[in-house]
Amino acid sequence: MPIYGDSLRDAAGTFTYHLNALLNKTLTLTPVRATIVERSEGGVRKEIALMSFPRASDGSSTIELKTRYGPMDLYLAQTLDAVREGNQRRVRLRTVSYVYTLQPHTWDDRIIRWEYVRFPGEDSYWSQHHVQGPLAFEILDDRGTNHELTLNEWHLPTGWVTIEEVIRFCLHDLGSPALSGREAWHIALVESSEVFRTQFSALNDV
Amino acid sequence: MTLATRKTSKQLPEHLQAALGEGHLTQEQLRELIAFEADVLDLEYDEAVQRAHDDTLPRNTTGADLRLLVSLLAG
Repeated sequence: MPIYGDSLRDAAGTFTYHLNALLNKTLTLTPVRATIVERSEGGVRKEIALMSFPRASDGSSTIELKTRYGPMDLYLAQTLDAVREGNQRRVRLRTVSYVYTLQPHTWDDRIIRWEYVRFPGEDSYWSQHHVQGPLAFEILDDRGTNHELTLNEWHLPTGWVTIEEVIRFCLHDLGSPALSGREAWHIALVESSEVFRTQFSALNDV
Repeated sequence: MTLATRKTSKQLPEHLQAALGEGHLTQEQLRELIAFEADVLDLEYDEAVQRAHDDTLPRNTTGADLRLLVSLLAG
């Protein structure tokens, strides 16, 4: 069952409430929050929500993570809208896009970014769920040409990447300090994924 | 774990900080925020919006954030 609410703000609030409960048990005490942006399309007033870490006075909306490779900035953001189905009174929350990135403080580039775009442009034929980054590799083709590439040049398909899995990556692979013991954060992530799968249906349509 | 700070001395205008604190932005305030982020990247507003559409913004977290903000502009 997806997340429903009386309004976009209400539904986004349910989403951020759940996420913050998870973040507080695993990675950070900094809560994500939703900012509602007004827009008008064809004379019709609409709203879209931007969920991210709170914006600091310098405009940034990242948190600093300690990792075994030095400090990195974590950026977690989703844009969400509200869909009204038929004559339903309540609206259904829908993810329009997500961007999750990690950037070491010593880099000018993000080392990795997971992205999703629900409505790519007409000329976009790449995978809507993908991972990119400046990770370099080479392919020697059968004509002897060596192709030097980075993962920025590919839209490597991923399927839906959940925030739970990004948190898990930060804790396990990057060695970020957890806010609870390993078994506790593991259980929190598993339970959160289960809530999204069974109650919110995030993997289908938040 | 604290909020990271960027290497910029620029500060969001107080009225934008207040609007963000209330969790609500008008399109005009969104454009101001985009202009602020563009300035952090030494870009003009129009150039930043065009580069966001072309996916040629700097590949850092500010660029990622700016691209997302541009996607929120009314069509």
